Amino acid sequence: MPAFDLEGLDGERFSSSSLSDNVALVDFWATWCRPCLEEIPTWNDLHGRYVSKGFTVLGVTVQSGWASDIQGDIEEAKLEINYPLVIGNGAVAEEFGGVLGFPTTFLVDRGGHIYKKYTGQYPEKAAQIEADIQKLLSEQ
Amino acid sequence: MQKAFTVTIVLFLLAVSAAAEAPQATQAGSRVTGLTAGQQKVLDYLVVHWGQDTAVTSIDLGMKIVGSRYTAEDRYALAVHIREHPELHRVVRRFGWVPVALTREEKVTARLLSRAQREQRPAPTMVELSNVVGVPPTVLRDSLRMLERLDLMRPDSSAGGVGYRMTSDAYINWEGTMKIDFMYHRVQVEGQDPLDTF
Repeated sequence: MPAFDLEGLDGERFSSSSLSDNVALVDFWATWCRPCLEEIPTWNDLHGRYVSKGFTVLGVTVQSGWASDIQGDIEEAKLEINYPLVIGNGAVAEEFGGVLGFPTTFLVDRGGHIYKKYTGQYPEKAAQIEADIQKLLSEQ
Repeated sequence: MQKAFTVTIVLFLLAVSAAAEAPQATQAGSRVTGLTAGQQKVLDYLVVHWGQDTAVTSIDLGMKIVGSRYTAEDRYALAVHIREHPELHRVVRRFGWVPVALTREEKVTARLLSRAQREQRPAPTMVELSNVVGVPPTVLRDSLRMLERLDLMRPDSSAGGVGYRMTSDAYINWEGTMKIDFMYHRVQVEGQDPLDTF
């Protein structure tokens, strides 16, 4: 996984080192992307169930404007997001290997390596990702 | 992974088609000095309509709809103004100023030159560009001049062809991060103003 240091929605910096030793799901999303919004409850659910086992979710918000715009969109859509959000940019997306469509989701292993990239929203995606999370969590 | 890629395009299109947002009339910052009354009229129109029905309406379309006589100088002044004032509207903060600044001819021209540079090929010649963009060389020269004035391209004889290069890597690899800088999608719903979208 590329190193990054991005501004969080709360104004604090968020560094890729914060994900060290965790299995991490990194979701590139935009506030105007309907399928991205539809996936958020799934990420909340996975985050809630696996966080104590060393798993975390990070939402990288791109092409959605300033923090105040993103916050406004989240409130307007009445979204509950239980994991950290940062404001991404094209450079970070490129360093992850490119984001050609939204949503694009990456799963990162405990060693910080990108294990898999999932592009788009499709029916079996959540089950596939959960199986991959379990596999990565079982590896020490 | 193959399957995931197969659905990418479909899902991206779904994402785009499903994307909708409430009207966002952020007019508070739009009245500033530096624009003529006529230019301000266009800006007021854009600020009210951006975001409605996914509109990312360009300046040239705004000028046509407002209906007065506008020149390339008016468009340039508005483009620079919007570039310097992202606080005008969240559509500008989301997608940047480029998609609203350029005409269809300029976007297609930029795409062709950007692609050639990305693929490390010589820039197309004036005749090639003219054929693909579908406008005579005189119009094409104006497009190239505007792209240069807006600092998106710079003359460089080593580029071959028309002799222009993009000024930044961001404009060479613009497609990879789903930017809409040089996209041109104009639609019209019966009974409503036309709009540019993404």
